[in-house]
Amino acid sequence: MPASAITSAASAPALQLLVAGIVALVLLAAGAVPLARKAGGSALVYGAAAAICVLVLGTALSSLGGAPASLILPPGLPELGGRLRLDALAAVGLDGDGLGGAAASPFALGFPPGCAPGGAGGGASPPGAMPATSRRRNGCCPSIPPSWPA
Amino acid sequence: MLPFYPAFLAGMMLVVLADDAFTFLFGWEFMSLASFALVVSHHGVAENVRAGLVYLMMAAFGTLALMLAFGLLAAGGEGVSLQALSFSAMRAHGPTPLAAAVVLGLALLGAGSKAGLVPLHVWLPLAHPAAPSHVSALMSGVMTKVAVYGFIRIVFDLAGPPAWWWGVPVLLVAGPTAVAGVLYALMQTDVKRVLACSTIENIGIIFVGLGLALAFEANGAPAVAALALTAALFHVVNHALFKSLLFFGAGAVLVATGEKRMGMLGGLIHAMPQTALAMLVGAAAISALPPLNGFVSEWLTFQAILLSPDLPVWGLKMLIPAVGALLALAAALAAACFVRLYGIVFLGRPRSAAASQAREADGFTRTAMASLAVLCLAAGILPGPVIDALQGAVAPLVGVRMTGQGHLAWLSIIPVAEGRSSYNGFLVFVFIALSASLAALAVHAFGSRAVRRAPAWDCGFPGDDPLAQYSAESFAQPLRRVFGRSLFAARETVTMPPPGDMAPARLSVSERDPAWAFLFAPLGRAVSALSGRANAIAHLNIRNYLALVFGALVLLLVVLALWA
Repeated sequence: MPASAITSAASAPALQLLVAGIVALVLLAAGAVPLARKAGGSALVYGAAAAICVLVLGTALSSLGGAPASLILPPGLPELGGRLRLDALAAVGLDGDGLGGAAASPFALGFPPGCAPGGAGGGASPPGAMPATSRRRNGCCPSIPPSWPA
Repeated sequence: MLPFYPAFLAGMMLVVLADDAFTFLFGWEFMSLASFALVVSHHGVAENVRAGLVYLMMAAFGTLALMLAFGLLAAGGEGVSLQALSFSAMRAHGPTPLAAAVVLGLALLGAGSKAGLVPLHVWLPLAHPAAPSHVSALMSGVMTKVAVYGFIRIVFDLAGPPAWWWGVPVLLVAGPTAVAGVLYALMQTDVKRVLACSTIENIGIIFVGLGLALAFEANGAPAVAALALTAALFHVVNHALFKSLLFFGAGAVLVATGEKRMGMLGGLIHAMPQTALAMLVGAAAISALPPLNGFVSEWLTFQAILLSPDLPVWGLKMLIPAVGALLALAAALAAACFVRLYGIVFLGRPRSAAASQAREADGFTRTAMASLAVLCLAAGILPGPVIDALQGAVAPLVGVRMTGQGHLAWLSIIPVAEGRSSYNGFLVFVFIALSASLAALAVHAFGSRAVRRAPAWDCGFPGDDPLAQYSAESFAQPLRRVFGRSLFAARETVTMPPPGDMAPARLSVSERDPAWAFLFAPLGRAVSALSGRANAIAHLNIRNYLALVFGALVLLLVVLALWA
């Protein structure tokens, strides 16, 4: 089968919409490189990611009971192309992806970029050992005195 | 970090939509590399970089296993064509029984390493807490489910009809994973690390459902297989909901206090009441308390386990109840784990200035947590529509679907038969809401408002120090002594100051992950020794290199001749 854009089944528009969502996320990732250093860049990227994930979630939910749809895109191996398929199992998986992204992106808007998770608590511990218990702070709440109680 | 976040989401979505091995593996690697970049986003902390490298190694191992699995699935076709890499071609010809068995093992290794099955879990307690909280939520709540999806796609969809024993290795790995995961969680004192280890437990629960589905499908009980697969998929959805919620709560606490150590927190219910309420919902849901969603999926799994006496194979009849006992133990330990987490972090008094000065999370964070908490409650009260929605995915994989649950009276669910078992989350919710409201009214109506103050019992020690409260370590001590000594070589050391020295006594606890001690550490030493020896080959002269190439050529020709 030649590698070209071929669709099947009635719910193909849903699959095309999902592919558009993935492409939009990839473009957003590319656009985030210059935006990362600009004021409001994070809000734009996380906001757009949330919107795309809501779109994916809605499309996947509507496809849960639909007939499988497939699509062959030109990018991919010769003779094979990039084959995509939206069936009910994929729709369940995409529901999880969309829901997770739709919830995590707004949360990220409120998460300060300087709040290093590896700070207090020592971050990840050496493999196989107990977590570190250093008293190092991570800058999330720098106004707090360094030791308490005295 | 910013560019890798949408890339990570795109990678996860591409894996799920892929319909050929190349696209699947491309998406898988895209997801792995983007998440690696997010894990090491705070690369100033050396431990985070180490966590990222361990994660990268395990991700590469998983991809290798999946690549081999797809190679075996594609090898069954006639001729040599790249079209054999499409999933439709794999479905059309199907592997031989031996190849299918190897594919099952490779899928367990490949998808299991990403999902966090014991003993391939070692990267998970390192990498998930190292990432920013929203990424931790995605990695723990969503990415591990993409791995579960990969396992289902390969084993249930592409590898052909299962043999009677396929469920055995899955169950043998899943049951211990559930127990070990929650025991790991109980030993931790870092909030995010507790949540990461709890993910291992929940992956065990999901794989118990998948193992049951394989066992029942292969042994002529497709209806029970549909029930078990539904339970697994329901738990996939549930875990994505409550684990994301709990990681958001941990992130809110981290932002408010700068602390992840449970020993430095406490009393946050006063400063962060909305976060505390959302975390309470998440903790109750993950502890499988009705009427929340975690209970429904675990209850469905137990319904399938209770049907195991109908199986024709004696080995499965004995194995499945044993796995059920492990699951029950894991559920009980999970409740203890989250009582400990919630009690230490949100109840009592602040154990540090950071905790005493905490402020409520911002609106975005609270909205995200509230949405997930509502969904946890909704999926628990209305499980019927969720079960029905999953049947579109279940039916093609095991051949039948569960009977419709959404239309039953009073929002009940009856997974097997009415005389056998039924559950009504809505009635449980109404009962709890009414009884709690009546109790609150009675307390307010008849209780005394007078406050009686008295010195708290302090075991004879003077002073009123918040550090005298129950701690994360002391809460876990009984379980650590019961399970930790043998499984984790847990040791407690008390250092007492000499007489006259006013320094405090110190209790230190050391533990060891047996997977590191007995599998990965020896493996690392072996690789190190081998690479040290192989390093000599890098410093040969041209004559020796030519001899080496010639020898390798002869060896390959001999192997080919013997193969033919």
